Amino acid sequence: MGHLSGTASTAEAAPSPAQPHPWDHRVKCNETDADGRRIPTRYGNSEFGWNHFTHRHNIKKCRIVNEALSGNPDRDDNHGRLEYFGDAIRAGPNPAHVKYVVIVQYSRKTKDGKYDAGRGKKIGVINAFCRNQPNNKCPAWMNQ
Amino acid sequence: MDESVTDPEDREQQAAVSRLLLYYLNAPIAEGCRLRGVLPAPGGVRIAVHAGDDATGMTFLYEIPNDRVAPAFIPGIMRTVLAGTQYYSSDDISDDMGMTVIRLRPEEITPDPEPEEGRALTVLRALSDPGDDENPFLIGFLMRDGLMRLYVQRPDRPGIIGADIRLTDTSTALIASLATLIEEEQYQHPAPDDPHCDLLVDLTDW
Repeated sequence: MGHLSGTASTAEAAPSPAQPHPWDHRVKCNETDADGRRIPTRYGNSEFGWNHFTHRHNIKKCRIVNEALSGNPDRDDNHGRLEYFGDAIRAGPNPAHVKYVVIVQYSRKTKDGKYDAGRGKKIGVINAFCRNQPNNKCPAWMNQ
Repeated sequence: MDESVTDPEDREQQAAVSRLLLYYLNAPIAEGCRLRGVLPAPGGVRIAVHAGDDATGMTFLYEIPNDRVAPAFIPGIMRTVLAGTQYYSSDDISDDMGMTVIRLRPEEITPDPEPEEGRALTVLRALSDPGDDENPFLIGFLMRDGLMRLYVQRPDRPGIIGADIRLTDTSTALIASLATLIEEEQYQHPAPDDPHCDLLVDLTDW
């Protein structure tokens, strides 16, 4: 970039235009709940959606999220935030039962105003995690 | 004046920007600039900013089309465009009511990052808007040393939980999950030093 006097810097003077907090709108999972709400799980980014919870909370299959979403919401704050509870049950010689929760924002934007799914669309699943597990991370057997 | 029917989603967006910018009335939105209004323009909003003194200054209307940027970034976009000298094509400049209208391209503007108060406002509004609940979740808050303690109602019994979060990286997922996470015993501790809550929940590493 040529010689610059004073403190060394090769950065350009003007900030490069950027879409704040880019995110992937594409839908990874889709389910309709018992009341008829069509709820997408979008890829999102590190702050919300599939890309946020798949590694952090070790949920690798749509089925885990969709089974919880297929029922009635278990909590509804009447402003778009819905919680759906799910149970992962392994029978057999080594039984286990883990409860989990899927958190949905059934409105166009997230409550913090940072993410907008666009006209006529819902932002969908924000997060999903297992209860009473260290760091709310789901056990590996849930993904088998 | 445009007589065509306006999509209700346009009105929702205009109202949302108006409500958001109310929080920026009490102090200059940028150096030498005060927010004076939010106008419903066709397909967007026009944010009125008075620059300079009451008598000798100028008022600008910054036009932001709907659907192009999430509302949380509008204050940062305003701080960016109000700083220093900005350049515009004359195609984007017009005049209304004696004020210069500047049509912005929000996807081409890097929003100035929110200072601590702005980040706190985002979290607090996300947890308390629209504020019409008979049984509100958020009861109070305290900002201290880069952390925020949120005083929230316990879901299972009377009493208040103090939930600690970091203001530097409060993700969308954390805000959305907070009401569920406070029930997790793994994060709960007693609160001997804080008389304003019964239990503490530490989510600073979540």
